[in-house]
Amino acid sequence: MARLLIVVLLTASVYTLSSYGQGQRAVAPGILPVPPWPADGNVNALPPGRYVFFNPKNAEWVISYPETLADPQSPRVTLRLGSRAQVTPSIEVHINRESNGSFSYSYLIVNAATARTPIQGWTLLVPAQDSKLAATHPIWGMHSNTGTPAREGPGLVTPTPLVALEWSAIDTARVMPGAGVGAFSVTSSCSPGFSTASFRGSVRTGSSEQLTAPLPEAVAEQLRTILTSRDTQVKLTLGPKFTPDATKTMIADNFHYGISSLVQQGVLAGDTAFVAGALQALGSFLTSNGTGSLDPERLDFMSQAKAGTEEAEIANALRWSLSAAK
Amino acid sequence: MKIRLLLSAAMASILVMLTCNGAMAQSFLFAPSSSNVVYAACYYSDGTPIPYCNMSLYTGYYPNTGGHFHDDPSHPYSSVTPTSGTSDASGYLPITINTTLIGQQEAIEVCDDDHGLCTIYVDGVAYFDLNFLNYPDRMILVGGNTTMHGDNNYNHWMTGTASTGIANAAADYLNVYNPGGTICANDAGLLYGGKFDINDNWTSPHASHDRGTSVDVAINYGGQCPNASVVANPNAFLQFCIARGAVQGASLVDPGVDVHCNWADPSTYPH
Repeated sequence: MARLLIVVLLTASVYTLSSYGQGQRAVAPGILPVPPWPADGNVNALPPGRYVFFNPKNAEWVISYPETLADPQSPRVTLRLGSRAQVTPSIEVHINRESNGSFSYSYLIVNAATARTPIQGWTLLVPAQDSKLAATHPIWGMHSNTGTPAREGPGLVTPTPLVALEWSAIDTARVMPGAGVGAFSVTSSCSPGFSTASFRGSVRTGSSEQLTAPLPEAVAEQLRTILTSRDTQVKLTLGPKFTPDATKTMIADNFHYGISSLVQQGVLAGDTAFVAGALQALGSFLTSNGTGSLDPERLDFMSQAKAGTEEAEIANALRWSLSAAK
Repeated sequence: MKIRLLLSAAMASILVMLTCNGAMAQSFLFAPSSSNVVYAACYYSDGTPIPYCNMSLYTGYYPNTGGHFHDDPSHPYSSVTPTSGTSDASGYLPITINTTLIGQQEAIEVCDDDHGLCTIYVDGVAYFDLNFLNYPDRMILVGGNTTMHGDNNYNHWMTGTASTGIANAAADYLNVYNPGGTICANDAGLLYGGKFDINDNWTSPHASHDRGTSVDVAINYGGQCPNASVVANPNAFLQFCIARGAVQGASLVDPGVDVHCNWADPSTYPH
């Protein structure tokens, strides 16, 4: 009898918890970089040494630490920061080669209807040493952040020093869920390659330095990691990438990674003649120890890119960059 | 399971990896040879984690990344523990990602087995405090395209302290022994750091180059380094390195080969 009662209670408990999202469909699973903040707010079972948490219910980072770090029983300081990653961006780019040899890049950004917040700003990393660099938008403000050396995400690292082009919207021009904004323009002497664009929602202001300054260093270090790598939505796009001293190995490396990633994301089909040919040719060149050939005029897959699609844009970008390479 | 398919075909490409029910998410950055606890979850469409959800986890790697333009079936990559499990009452499953010494591009896949949904995360196993050794006024970069680790843009990455140290040591030496000249910097660290396996077998020798704290300076004539840039007084150069902060016990002259200057004791970093 007692065993039956326990089973009934357990079943009821599971049913209650499972019914929390009743009526909703499941979406793609995920991985949190920090421990989840307890739904009941009970801090007694928090993992030791972890001071930054995520509260999925409110989409916020929770910073919680004992006032005296060495004494876990001391009163806790708890702060909450809205996550700026609750946007669902996509980005389109169109590239032109100008008569003076420079490149013009035109971007359209869209925030999917499923996004929880509007897009307030976005950032594109470009080579810093570029005499022709200019970035504009009719309404959004643009700030070129040269204070801190910018770094590309994994897969896109090159020796070229970078600068961050940061666009910010005035309140009435934010990209609302389900809407898009175009006319972001960049002019550059650098030929195109895959780069990263990061998008942030409009939930708070304050730089990473301002937010972490008052915190104990051990706490600030954990928050800094989150704010720099997990508090925006990052997308691959084509942008100014290669200075004239870029080598074919660097270009092949960049495009091999970029095309592979877009296949994974479902942006490119993996079985087209262009994609298969590009990955084969670029991969072979990379493993040739610098002895292979990558002549853009002799790469058959280039002409097999589907006109009017991302493939054509990538093919043009690869052709321009390889032609300019050492 | 999809990543495992990828790995079996890694030599060819990473072409077939994800089906239409997948998604790709933001990057994680992990240090080489580190253990990292993260939290997997299945989600409802409002972002609520699903309690007691069955999940599977996989890891994989991207070939030809991190400056490793070589591959074979023994290619190391991170592991995940556990490889499957059920989320707790709050909807989360703690998992541990254990990275190897290889700096490279990797992937973690988390699958919601109850609903047939998967997400792939790209993660970088790397030291992200490395800078390119960019001092063309005083050093020529050599050693690229010799060991399947890319050209000279891939084998000259160092921490800020070490790159400043070798730049200053080079200037000190050149002022005395070769005014207006240059030295030749051979291997430093790879662009992500981690194991610099010059024999393409994912292991040492070259262990002291695994953290981006050391660099080899050419002293041999008739090699990749133009004769005018060969360091003719290796012992003097070594002393300039030490005066600029290189660790004495970790720096030495390899006669007829190079001066090896290291700004950290290899016992202080994974190698």
